[in-house]
Order: sequence, then structure tokens, then C-alpha cells
Amino acid sequence: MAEHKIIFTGPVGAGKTTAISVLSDIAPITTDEVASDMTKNLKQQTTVAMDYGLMRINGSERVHLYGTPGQERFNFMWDVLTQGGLGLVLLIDNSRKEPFQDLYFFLDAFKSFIHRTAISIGITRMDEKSQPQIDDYHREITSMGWPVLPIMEVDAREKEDMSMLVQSLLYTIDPTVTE
Amino acid sequence: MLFVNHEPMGIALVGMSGKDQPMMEMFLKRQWSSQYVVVPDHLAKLCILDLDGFEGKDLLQKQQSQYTDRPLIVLSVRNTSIDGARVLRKPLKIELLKQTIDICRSEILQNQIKIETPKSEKERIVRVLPRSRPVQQKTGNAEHNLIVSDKNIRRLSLPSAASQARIIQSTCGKSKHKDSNQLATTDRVDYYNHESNFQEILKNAMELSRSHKKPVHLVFQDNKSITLLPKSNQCLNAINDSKLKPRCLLKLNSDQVKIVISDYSESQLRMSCDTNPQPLDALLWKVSLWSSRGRLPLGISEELNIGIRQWPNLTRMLAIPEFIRIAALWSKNPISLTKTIELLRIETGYVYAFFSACHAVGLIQYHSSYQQPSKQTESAPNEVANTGLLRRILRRLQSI
Repeated sequence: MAEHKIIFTGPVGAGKTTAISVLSDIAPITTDEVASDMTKNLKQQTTVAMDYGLMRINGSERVHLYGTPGQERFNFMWDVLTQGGLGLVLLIDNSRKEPFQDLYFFLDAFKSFIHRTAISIGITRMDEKSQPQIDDYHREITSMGWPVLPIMEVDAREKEDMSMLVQSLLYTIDPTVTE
Repeated sequence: MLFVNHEPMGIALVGMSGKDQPMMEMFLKRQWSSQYVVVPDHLAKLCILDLDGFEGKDLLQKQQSQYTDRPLIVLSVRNTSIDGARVLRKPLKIELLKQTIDICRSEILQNQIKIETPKSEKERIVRVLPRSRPVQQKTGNAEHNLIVSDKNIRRLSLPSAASQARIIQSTCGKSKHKDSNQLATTDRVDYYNHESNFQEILKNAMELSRSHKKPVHLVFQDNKSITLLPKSNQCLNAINDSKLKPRCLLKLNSDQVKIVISDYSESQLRMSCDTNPQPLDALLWKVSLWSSRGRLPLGISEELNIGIRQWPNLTRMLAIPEFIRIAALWSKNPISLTKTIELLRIETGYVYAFFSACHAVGLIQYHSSYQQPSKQTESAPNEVANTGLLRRILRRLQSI
């Protein structure tokens, strides 16, 4: 059975879980687990927090959708999680205090994966806070030395938005793909 | 002997948090699905220990005292060395982790390390496996649900073909499929004069509004108006699409559309208007597509090498799937319109319409040279997604 995966990342609250749920053919798995022996003294429940969804594309072929744990600023396992991934969807919450800091952080954290594959960036919650605008993100990306990247305003609840964002990721890998 | 070559080798994951353990299990499964299984500590042939986890040092001491002959891989953020262990520094590098696990495996096989485990323990390995793999278990359940009950399968409606066709015809013109012999012919290029229609009036009004930093009204003869709000980069459009679209094809003069600078503030105008504000660029984009209808602006050569400064905000603009492909191509390398049509094998109208819209909103960059387009993934042959796979995923996404 052919298995492929697309990684969704971004800060907490950016809409990763929602994005995965609108694209997934199954109810997304986002679970809290009973803490293990080692951690139960700290708290009773611990979040597994690796969102998971699945898209069936052709018979038994499927694409796994993985969301990185959003509450962590750094995770030493990200390289492990992205291994074999087709590309990265980065969601940035525009309503956060310093969205550019989030942008810098995630682009840097996944730099080698992005260079190996591709990225598309969705800016969420622009209806709550309109600044910075999409043009500002493009300027920041250019000033950081990145090439022209797909950056779009998205509402993670809208499947059309998320579909277009993932399509831009795949066409960035190979624009010559035809139906 | 408990462990033989064709049996999966038991690995213990010790000291890892509830977030990290599922990722490591997923990695092991993906990398060597039949070679390794995660098992409880006392049944494992190899141990991977997170030294930075809760009580990491105590766990390390326990490993060193209880399992003296067992290979141990220690993960740590510190650059440290530990007797009898292989230390991998965080953040983990996949290749190094793979190599280290493989080395440990070879050592175990070569040395035939025998851990004195009662035969009954072998049976326990089988029994305890599902409980020790929480995420895989959940994934399995979800997939099981998918098979036994399609309640969870999202019912996706296909886009209306008629509606798609209407959008294409109004923005990209009538279908004009050209074969490869016709692609390079310049005498077939259709042009339109954007300087004599509403697109140019709108563009001038936007410039006026921005230079005066004041709202501007565009008032048609029927007193319907569009108000441009430069501060917020938005507009208040009282004309619906079905009425605005035909106006984009007409030659208009200053008597037919008046440009009036407003004395009211943006907030006052918002309060007095029933319509929701729209992005200004999205309006100009839409108007240029309706003006173009698959034609090029007058004076543009289809042999010029072009690119885009940035991707258009396609989720908030009038768009068809082909625009994403063209944007992806133009964002990579300078290329001519003719080459674009040839490479993407799409209708000229799509390319010309997309060019016209990008040109109107100032996204086009001109280049003096042509570069052979390259796939972003060429440098990583192991991770190159094959074209067939991308096609199938795209087909699935486009049905959403």
C-alpha cells in the first residue's frame, strides 16, 4: 500500500488541526493521553498532540496529514516527523503579537526539509487582524533570502482555501503536472 | 536463540515524552516496518533513551546497571560522551539515527547477544505489542472505521462544471486549444486595449486615491458607485458582478464614469454603506480578467521572458486551478508566454488572462534571459515525488 505524507506546522492556534480536519477523509486524531509512569506526577493527562488526518487518493493509496505539536517552540523530533514528507504547509496566525517572529522561527526550523521539498504558507485570522498584510509577508520572505514562495490568506475552516494552499505546494514541486 | 535474523527486533524507547514517543515509533515503522517493534524495556534488544527527559539521568544509570550488554543509544541536547553508549545530539539527524540503529543491529546479529529471557517471555512480546504503541493503535482504529463504516468519509461535492465553464469563459475567453505546431505563432495572438476601458479608469482612480490619501468614488451614469479606500486598501462596491462584467468590455470615457474625491473619512463611508469591503487588488484583478477574456494587453510580446515578484493572493481572487500552475512556474524561473503554454500544455487564454491580471496588479517582472525550468526537488532524488502521485493528489484536491 503506497503511503505518503504532508506536514502541517505553525504556532499554536494557527489552525493546523482545523486544516487537517477539512482535508481529511477520516475524523482527525488529536488526543490527550493518560500520562505515563514517568510524568503522571507532573500531570494526569498529557497531550500526544500530533494531529493526524488521512486523504484517500486512489484505491489503497493514501496521503497522511501530520500536524506538528503547536505548543512547542522547538522539538528535536521534527526531522524525524518530516522524513519522507512531500512538503510543508506552514500556517501563521496573523492575530498573534509577532507573526513575523513565528515566520522566521518555522522557516529556520524546517529549512533543510523545505530545501529538499517545497513549502506553501497560509496566513490565518486576517479577519481578526488585517496587519501585517500579505505583501508584508512577501517582503519579509524576500529580505530573508528566500525565493518567491506561495503565500495566501486562508481560513483554515474553508476547505477551498486549504485545497488551494496544498495545490500551490504540489504545483511548486512540479508545475508541469497535468491531469 | 530468542532473536533470529528474520524476526523483528525489539526496541525500548525510554524517557521519551508522550509527544516524542509516537513520532519515534512512526519513524521506526516507516523506515523498517518489519525489522523493529517497540517493546517494553525488559524485552528489548536495543534501547533508545532520551537523557533530557524526566529523570533522564536515573534512567541512564538503570540502563547501565541492569542491561550491561545491551546496545544503548542516548539522545541529548548536550555534547556529552557516555561509556558504553552511542550519544546522538539533538536535534536528531535522520541519517545519523538510521546509521546508528543499523550499526547496533549488525552488532547484535554478529555477536549473537543473548539476553537470558525465559521462553514464555517471547509469547509476551506478541501480547504486549498493541498496548505499547498508542498512536499506531489509534491510526489503525481510524482506518478500521474507514473500512467498516463510511460515516466518517467526507462527502465531497464536485464543482459545478457549468459554473466553472462560465468563470473560464468570462476570464479566459472561449476555449482555443492549440497543438504544439501552433503554439509559437505570433499572428494568432489576441490583444485588447486596456487603456480605453474600465480597467484603466479603475487603475487611475486607485493611483489618485493613493496619492491624495483620500477615498475616491467611481460613479457610473446610473449612479451606482465603487468607493476606493486607500488607507485600508479596500473598496466598497455597490455594483454586482453580473453588471460590472459587461462594463469591463465597453470603451468608457470620463462622462460615463466620474471620478470624485471624497471628503468623508473611510470609517464614515463604511458606516454609511451596506456592502462589505473587498480588497482593492482583488477588484482590479477581477476587472482585468473580465477585460482580458483570454487576450493580452496591447503592446505585450509573448516572447518576453517574465516572472512574478510574488504569488497573487489566489484564495481571495477570482481564480481557476490553471492559475496556480502558471504562478508556480513563473515564481521559479523567467520564461516567455509562448514557452509557458508549451511547457504546461494549456490553452493560451488561461496564460494571457493570468498575465493580464498579474500585469494589472503589478506582479510581473521582466527578465532578459530564459532559464530552463527546474523542479525544486531535483537535488534530492530520494524524496522526489513522482509526477503520477502529484497528479492523483491534485485530482483529489480539485474535487473538493
